[in-house]
Amino acid sequence: MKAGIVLYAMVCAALLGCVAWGLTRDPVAMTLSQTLASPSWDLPFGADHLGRDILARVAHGFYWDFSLSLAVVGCCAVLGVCLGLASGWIGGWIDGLLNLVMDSVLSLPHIVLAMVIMVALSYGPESLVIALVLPGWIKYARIIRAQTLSLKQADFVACERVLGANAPYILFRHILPNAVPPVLGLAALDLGHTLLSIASLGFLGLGLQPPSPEWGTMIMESRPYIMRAPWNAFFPGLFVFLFIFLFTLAGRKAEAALSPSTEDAHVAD
Amino acid sequence: MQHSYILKRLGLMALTILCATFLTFVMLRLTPGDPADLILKKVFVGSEEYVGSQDERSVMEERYGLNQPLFVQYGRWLGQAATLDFGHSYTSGQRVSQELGLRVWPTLSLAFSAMAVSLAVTLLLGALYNLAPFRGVKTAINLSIVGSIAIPNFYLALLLVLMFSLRLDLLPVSGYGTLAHYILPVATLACTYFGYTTTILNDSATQVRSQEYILTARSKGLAPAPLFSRHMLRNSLVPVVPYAALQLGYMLGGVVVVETVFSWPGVGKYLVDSLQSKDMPVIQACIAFIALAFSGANLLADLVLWLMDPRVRFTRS
Repeated sequence: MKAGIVLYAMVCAALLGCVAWGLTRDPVAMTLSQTLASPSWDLPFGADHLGRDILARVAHGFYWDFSLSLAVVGCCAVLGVCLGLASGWIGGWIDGLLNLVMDSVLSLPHIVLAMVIMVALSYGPESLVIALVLPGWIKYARIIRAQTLSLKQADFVACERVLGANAPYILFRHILPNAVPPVLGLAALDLGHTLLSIASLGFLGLGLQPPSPEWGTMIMESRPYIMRAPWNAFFPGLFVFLFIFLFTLAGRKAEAALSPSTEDAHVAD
Repeated sequence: MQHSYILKRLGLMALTILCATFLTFVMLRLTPGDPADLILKKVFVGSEEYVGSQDERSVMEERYGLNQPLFVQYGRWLGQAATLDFGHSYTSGQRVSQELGLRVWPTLSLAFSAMAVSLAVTLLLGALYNLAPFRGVKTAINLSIVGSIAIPNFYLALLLVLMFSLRLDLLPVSGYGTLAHYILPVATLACTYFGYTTTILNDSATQVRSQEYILTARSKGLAPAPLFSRHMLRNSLVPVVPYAALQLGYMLGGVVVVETVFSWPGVGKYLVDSLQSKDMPVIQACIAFIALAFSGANLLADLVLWLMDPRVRFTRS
């Protein structure tokens, strides 16, 4: 267990070290003399078909992919929590309408819906966030809605009502705090999924457009040179893989650590 | 009760598919770019540089019904789609239903074979996880699960192609036709999906393990292997099988990417190509197919759970 944590920290440090090193270098400067250069001391990850430094591009790709993933997950969580609360607490036709919207959005795989939205909004970072938030908020809303529905029936909420508490007080004081742990666990796992979706869209040519140093887009650009210069695809892909690996590992641990305590809380109620 | 439940689910499914196709229809019509211009260039002249006159464009609009209000256009599309007529492609001029029909089998066969391989791996890892006497095996299986969830399918596909097709020259790089063409795409999909089902199997086996009948079986001296295969496996599989049905739907998303890497002539590659060229009728038809298959998988998941687990059947009726 302790060895695992040390290893985890070391991998994180190594990756972030690479990123910090690469951020000091220029991701767009083209040096035609070093076209498709193999990895060396000067160019640790080699150079691409336009002679650009891959280490610098991978590091700036981290900036794009990571900040976009964070933005998407943050928007999804906020939107999902608000709509889930509304759906569960108010009920009635609002609940029915939101359920129909959620079912309709869920009748397509995330990535397919995101692809269509990207084409409709003509590619860009803002479009990417919208394209991933529109299908992404639903998982959060579902969790919060279920939790609100069950807590609405709980005895302590009835007691609060008898004592004269109004709806906002109950929502913010009792229902929202109970919803935080599952949302945090889901968000850590979702960060990995979102990163994967961003890279997949980039790879299909439907995400951020070149010359943006986005990891999926870089791999897409490198495909014609896969035989001569495999490091062009190898390093961006390795970073996607390792970051999602780290997020997923953390998310699973968080979920495992948080779920028994929330179960206990229900029993205690 | 069962019939009314299934009927209600089917009605809801039809409604959600309608909503999904309508939403895509509206979104695509609002995109920048003139469809009439595209048809003129691609289907009738065959040159990207051609600049059509206003008259030519309005003839195209008339012919493809593009000058009508959005709702009328959608209603017409829906009426034709009900008879499996999805119109003509804006880029090739061919009938979309014909082109799509040719691509359904490659996609479905790819998804089903990947699902079968992924389930086989899940069973194997589940048995190992529960029977292996060492902690190291469990850690290794847990890491392989996280690896499976984390690796992007296109990256794995490229690495496999690089290794087995380009370096070792054992398997074809891309394309469709022989059994050998299936190996790399199926391996890619199975590797990126077994993690989810294995997680669910292991979690549910952990819960089953704490049941009292397992304690009874152990105290009467049953060895671990028959204990697992006879008493634990069937009950542990209860949440796995419906999830696998759901996953058939998710796999349609993965198939889109993997088909593009391997130039697989399926619905996914058709969709990506048509999205890049903004070929509306093709996009609409692919979306309708995917929505139908995906909702079908969701319905299947519910039915399978209902058929498999008597506990669910009794509580519902």
